[in-house]
Amino acid sequence: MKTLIDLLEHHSKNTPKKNAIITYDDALTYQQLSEQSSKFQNSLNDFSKNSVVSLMFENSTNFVVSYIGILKAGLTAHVLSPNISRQNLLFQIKNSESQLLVTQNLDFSSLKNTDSFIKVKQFDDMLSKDDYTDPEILSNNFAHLLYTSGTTSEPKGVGITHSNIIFTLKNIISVLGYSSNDISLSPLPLSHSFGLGCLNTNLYTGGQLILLNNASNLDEILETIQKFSVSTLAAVPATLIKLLKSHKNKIQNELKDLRLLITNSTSVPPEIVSEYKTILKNGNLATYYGLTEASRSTFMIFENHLDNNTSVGKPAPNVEIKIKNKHNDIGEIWIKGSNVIKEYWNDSSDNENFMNDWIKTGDLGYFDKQGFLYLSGRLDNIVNIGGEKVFPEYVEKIIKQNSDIEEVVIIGQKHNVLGHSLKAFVKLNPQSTLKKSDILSFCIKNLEKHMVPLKIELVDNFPVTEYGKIKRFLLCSEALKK
Amino acid sequence: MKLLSDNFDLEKEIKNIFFEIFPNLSLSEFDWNKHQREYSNWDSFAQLHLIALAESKFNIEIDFDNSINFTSAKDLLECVKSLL
Repeated sequence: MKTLIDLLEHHSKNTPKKNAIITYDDALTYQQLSEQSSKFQNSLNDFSKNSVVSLMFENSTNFVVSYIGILKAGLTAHVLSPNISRQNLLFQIKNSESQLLVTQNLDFSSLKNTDSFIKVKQFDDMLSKDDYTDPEILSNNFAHLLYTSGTTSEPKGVGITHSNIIFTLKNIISVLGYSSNDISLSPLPLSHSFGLGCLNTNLYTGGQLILLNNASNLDEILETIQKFSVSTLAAVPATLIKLLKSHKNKIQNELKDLRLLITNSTSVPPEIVSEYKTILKNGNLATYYGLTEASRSTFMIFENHLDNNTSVGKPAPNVEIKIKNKHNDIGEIWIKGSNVIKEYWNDSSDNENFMNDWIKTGDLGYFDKQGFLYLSGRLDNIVNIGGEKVFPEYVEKIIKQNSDIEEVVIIGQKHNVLGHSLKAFVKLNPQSTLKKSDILSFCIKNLEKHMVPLKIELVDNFPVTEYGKIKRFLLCSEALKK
Repeated sequence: MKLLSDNFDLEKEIKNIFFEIFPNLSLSEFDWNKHQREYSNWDSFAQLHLIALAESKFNIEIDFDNSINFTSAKDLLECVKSLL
């Protein structure tokens, strides 16, 4: 089997002077990436095979050198977000059994006086001139380790093997048409599966990847697209929505030549799809659905003439998806394929999520007659109210139709009469003068009886993960305490 | 000191809650003593919505016993009064 390393070496020989990675203040050709990553690899000679080395970097060429160096050494790269909380950092280091943390210009005083026996080294100390033989890398060796973001539970380690990576990359490339001609732009953190997938796709095809560090800097994104004649842009739906709201006139011109605009892991609002389809004169807007544990399991290329713009697409090649335990056609999404992990890292508590090569995602969804998959919510979010199953995500969608409401999270809480009832945590728009009773009145008018939240709590902010996702489970546990 | 106007406003608010939960209830049909069984759609959800609206409007918590025992607008009015 070819690994990402084999392909990188191939590009290094065939297109040595071509830029592989470009950042704000640096660039690396394929040859330079190959040479520098070998130096990094050599500094890891003392580590036994399959050891874990943690990386904590902003998006940079040095991250890419370190990541590839670890893979070349036959070790596993544990990728950490620089914005990680201290508690999460300590948990991941302990759970991963990582032996070394490599970083650059980041403060690690928080690791002192803890029971984590991990060495911390700066990137510049990791480039060795000594030469060692390349180890044999097997397809089932772990290449990298990411932790789930913890929106529904504590983080879980997800070890991705070399064969997982190659399987997924082949699907990305065949469905979305990436090639060595692409100049791709990613403002996504490389510590996230979406961002890391963009890097690996580029290294697989031999294209050029431009890394930015701030997805909120919309001007920088648009300037970079123009400056480098970018052909593909990867962005989360929030970035796409912000671009439309604040730069609508500008993006009509500056995105029109993109070949591909790829977003991720969630349904994109249909009106946003429609606007971007108009802007992308000859390009495609696409999304995908997957978990870190089952990367890129579906792909959706949006078409104007089809009425399926809220779908996350069809299963990726050689990936099976089935809907289990249906209730009114909606059930839990199960996925099987070579993109699916076998178990969590050093954690057997959730092994029931895996069954005969299937992963039970905990996501709810359904297929339409044409085989397009739609997401409906999370299984563990379902609330049984007097025998009626309610999807909090549906209730949230209806409440968010009130323009005074910026964000809402619905959770279930115990109720003496109904068994469970709903509680709404509501963040209002800054100018709003809405009262709790106004929100309740809106719910009574717009929701079925059993879906009306019986408690409303106004909040200034929600607890979020490092990636900005709301920690729903924390709200649930807070509600249970009350 | 409680004023007569306080009671008037309170009664008006409770009436409004009933008109909101029972949109087909006309002004002439409203009666403080009208019993739950005389409403065509006063089911357990309507009961809970009446309580939830009263709690959110007056910023009060109605306990479980009170919440299952009231059977008229007058009962809810008295319950709210006792908590203010």
